[in-house]
Amino acid sequence: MNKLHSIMKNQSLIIGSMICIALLMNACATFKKPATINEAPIKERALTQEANGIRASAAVVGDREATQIFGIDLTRKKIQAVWVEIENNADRPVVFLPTAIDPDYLPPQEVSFAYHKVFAADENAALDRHLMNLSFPIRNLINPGSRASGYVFTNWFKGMKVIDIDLIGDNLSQNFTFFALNPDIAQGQAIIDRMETMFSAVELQKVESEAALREVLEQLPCCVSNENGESSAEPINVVIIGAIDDWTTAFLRRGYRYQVLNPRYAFGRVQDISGKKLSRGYIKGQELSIRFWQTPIRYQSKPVWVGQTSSRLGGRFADTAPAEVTLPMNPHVDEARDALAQDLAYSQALIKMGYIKGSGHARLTRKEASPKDTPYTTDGLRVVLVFGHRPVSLEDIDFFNWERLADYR
Amino acid sequence: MNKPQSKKLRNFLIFSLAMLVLFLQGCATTQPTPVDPLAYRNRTKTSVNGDITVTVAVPTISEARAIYGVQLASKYIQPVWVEVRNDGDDTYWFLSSGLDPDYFFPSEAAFAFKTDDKNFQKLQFKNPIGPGSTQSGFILVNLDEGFKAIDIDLISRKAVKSFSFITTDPEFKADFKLVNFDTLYKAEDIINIEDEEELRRKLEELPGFTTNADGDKKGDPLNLVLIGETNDIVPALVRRNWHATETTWSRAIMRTVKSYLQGERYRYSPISPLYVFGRPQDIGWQKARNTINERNHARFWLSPFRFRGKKVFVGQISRDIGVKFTLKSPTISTHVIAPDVDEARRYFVEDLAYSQAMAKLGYVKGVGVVNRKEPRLNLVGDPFYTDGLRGVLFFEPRPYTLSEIQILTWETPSGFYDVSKRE
Repeated sequence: MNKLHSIMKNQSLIIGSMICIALLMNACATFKKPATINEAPIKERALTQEANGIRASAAVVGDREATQIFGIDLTRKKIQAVWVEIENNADRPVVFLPTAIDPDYLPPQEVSFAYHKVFAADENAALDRHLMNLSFPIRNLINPGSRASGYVFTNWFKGMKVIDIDLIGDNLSQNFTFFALNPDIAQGQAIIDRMETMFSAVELQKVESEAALREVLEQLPCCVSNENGESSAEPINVVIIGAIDDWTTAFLRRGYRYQVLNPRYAFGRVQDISGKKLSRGYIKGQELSIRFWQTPIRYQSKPVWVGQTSSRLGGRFADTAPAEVTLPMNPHVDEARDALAQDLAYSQALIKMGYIKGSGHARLTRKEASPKDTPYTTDGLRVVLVFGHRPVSLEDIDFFNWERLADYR
Repeated sequence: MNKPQSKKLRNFLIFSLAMLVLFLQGCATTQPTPVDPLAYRNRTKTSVNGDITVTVAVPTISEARAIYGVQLASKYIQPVWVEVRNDGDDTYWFLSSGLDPDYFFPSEAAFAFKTDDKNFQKLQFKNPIGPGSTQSGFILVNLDEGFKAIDIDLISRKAVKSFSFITTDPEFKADFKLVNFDTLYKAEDIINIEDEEELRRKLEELPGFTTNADGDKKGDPLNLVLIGETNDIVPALVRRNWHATETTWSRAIMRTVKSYLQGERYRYSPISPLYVFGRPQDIGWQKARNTINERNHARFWLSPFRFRGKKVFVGQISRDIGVKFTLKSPTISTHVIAPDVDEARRYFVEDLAYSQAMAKLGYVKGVGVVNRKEPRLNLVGDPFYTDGLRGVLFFEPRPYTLSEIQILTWETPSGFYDVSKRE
C-alpha cells in the first residue's frame, strides 16, 4: 500500500511537471494549411528510370520547398521528404517498400504527431489530413495500368541522397536506384560530375580476362600516403568492381553512410568518396570506415575502385574525439577487411569475391607505419568484391580461384 | 523555453524518479560462487545438414566471465560457442556477420577491458573449416538476455548451408522465459489444416481482439498471423532487429524509467500483458526506433491450429509514438499507440519481407472495419482504427529473396480510411 502511495505521489508530480513543460513549449504558432502548393520544380528535377514495364521517378524535397508544401518546418525534427512516383505497366500489382529508402522512415501520422500542439485539436487534425493527402499511398497496391505518387518522410540527410526503390509483387521484385540532389546544397552534383568525367576514354584501361585483372590489381599501390606521397600508411585492402549504383546501394543496405573523413592520398589525390558504418537502433555499429578511389581500370566494362578500410584502436570502446583528430588505428587491420567482406555478402548484390596479393606483407610479423606511426599487422592480401544487380542470394556468390586466405593464417 | 529552466525541471524529475527507484529496489546482494567455465558444453544444440554438423552453445553471464576472465556482460558483449564439423570435400567458411552484423572484433573487446587481446584471439572461432576437419571457438556478439536466436551461415565454393537455433539462458530471471511451444497444447487439442482455403476460413474465425485478464473487455485488434517453425520465425525477427521482451515489471520497469528519462534505448523494457485464449502473450517483441518512446510492439499467442504441420501464431502489433503515465497498466507508464494500427502491421510485413525467411504473404478478414471517424478504444484508452484485416506471413528456412515471395490473392488492404486522397 505504502508502495502504491509513493508511486501515485510521484506520478502526480510527474504529470504536473509534464503539463508545465507542455504549456511552456506550446507558445509557438499552430498549423495553417498552405494556401498554394508548388510542386512543379520537384517534379521537373525528378530522376526517372524504367524497367520491365515499371517506371519510377524520385526527387529529394529541399527544406524550403518542404516548408512551403507541408506548412511545417521539417528540419526541426531532422526530417526530409522524398517525392516518389511509380507507374505500373507490368502484368501484376506491385507494392512499394519504403524501408529501402530509409529503414527508419516515418509514416505521415507520426510526422504530424511530432508537430501537434496542446489545445489545438482542429489544427492538429488539419495537419494530419494535409500530410496524409500528400504522402505516397504506401499501403495501396499499385495495379497494372495505374500510377501512384506522393511523399515519403525520411531522416534528414546532407547532400546527395541515394534513393533505393524496392517494389514487390507475386514472385517479382523490381529495384531502382537514384542519386538525387538536395536542391539546397549544390555540392552534390559536383561529386557525381567528377566521378563521371574523371577519366577520358583514352585513359581507360580495359581488362577482360580474370588473369589480366589479377595482374593489374596486384600492381596497384600498396598503401595510402600523406599529401606529399612520402610516408606510406594503411594498406589498400579492398577492390570494388561494379557500377556505382550497384555497389553504393549494397553498402547502404548494410548500414554504411556517406561521411567526410580525414584525407588520405592515393594516385596523388585525396579519396573520392568515404563512408562509415552506422548504428542500427540501440546497437552501436561496428567502427568501420572506408575510403574509395576510382581507377581507370574497367573490368568487363565495370568500373574498378580501390578502397582502404580500417577501424580505430578500441573500436566502439575507444574514447570519443573530434572528427579532425586522427585516432590510433586498430593494428589488426585485417579484422576490418574481413568484417567488411562478410557484411557485404549479405547485401544481396555481391556476385563474386576473391583475395589477391596487395601490400606485399605476406606475414603477420611485418609492420608498417601509419600516419600516426601506429604499427599494424596484415596478411598483405586485398579482397576483391564484384557487384551486380539485386537480388543476389548468398547461394549465388561466385569465387575467384586466386589466393587462399587459409594459406596466410 | 529557456534552457536552465528545462534543465531544472528535468533534474527535478530525475531526482524524484531516482528516489522511486531506490525505494523499490530492495536490498538483494549475491554471493559469488565458483563457476565451471565448461558448463555451457552441457547445453549444446546440434544440427546436421548433409556433410556439415553444427553445434552451438551460449555461456551464461557468469560462465562467460569464467572463460574470459572479465565481465563481458558489463559491456553488453556475449560469447557464442560454435563448432563446425566438415565431413565433405569442400572447404567451408563461417560468416560471423550472419550471426550479428555488428559482432565484436576480439581486439576491440579486449580493449574494452584494457587487457591484452592474446587470450581473446585464442578463444575466437577461426575459419576456414577444411575437408574432414572440425573447428570450434567463440564469436563475440551483442548481448541478448533470456534467450538467443543463432543464425549460422556456412559458405563454400559450391554451396551455402544455413542453420538456425534458439538457445535459452538457464540463469536468467524467472520472469522471462521462452514458452515451450511444443508442449503448450495437448496432442488431442491440435487442429490440423491442410487446405489453403480452409486455413483462410479458420484464420477468420480466430478471436478478433485481445482482452483484459478477465476476458470481459476488448482491447487491440489481432492483426497478424505467423505460420512456420519457431526456428524459422524467431531468427527472422532477430535478423530484422526485433527483441523479445519481458512481460512483467520487476527490474525491467526500473530500467524503462531510467531509459525514458535519459532518452536511451533500453531494449528490454517490458510490454504489458494482454490476453487471448485466456492467457497473456506467449511472446512479446519490440523493435526500438529513434528513442524508447517510439517503438513497435508485437505480441503473439500460439493457436491450436497447425497448417501442413507448421505452427500458427496469432498476434497484435501497434506502434508507440509517445509515453503516458497510467494506473491502468501494472507498468505505470504505458505507450501511446499510433491510432492508425494498420501502419504498424504494414511495417511489420515489409520488415519481415527483408528477413530472407518469408515465403508467402496474404491478408484475411479479422475484426472488420473500424472507421477513422468512430475509432475504438484499446484497454488503456487509446483510440485506433483499422481496415480490419490480418496479415498472414508464412515462414520457410532461409534464404528467400524479395523476388521469391508469393503473394496470395485473398483480401487486399485498403489505404487510409475515410480520407480521400487530395481533398
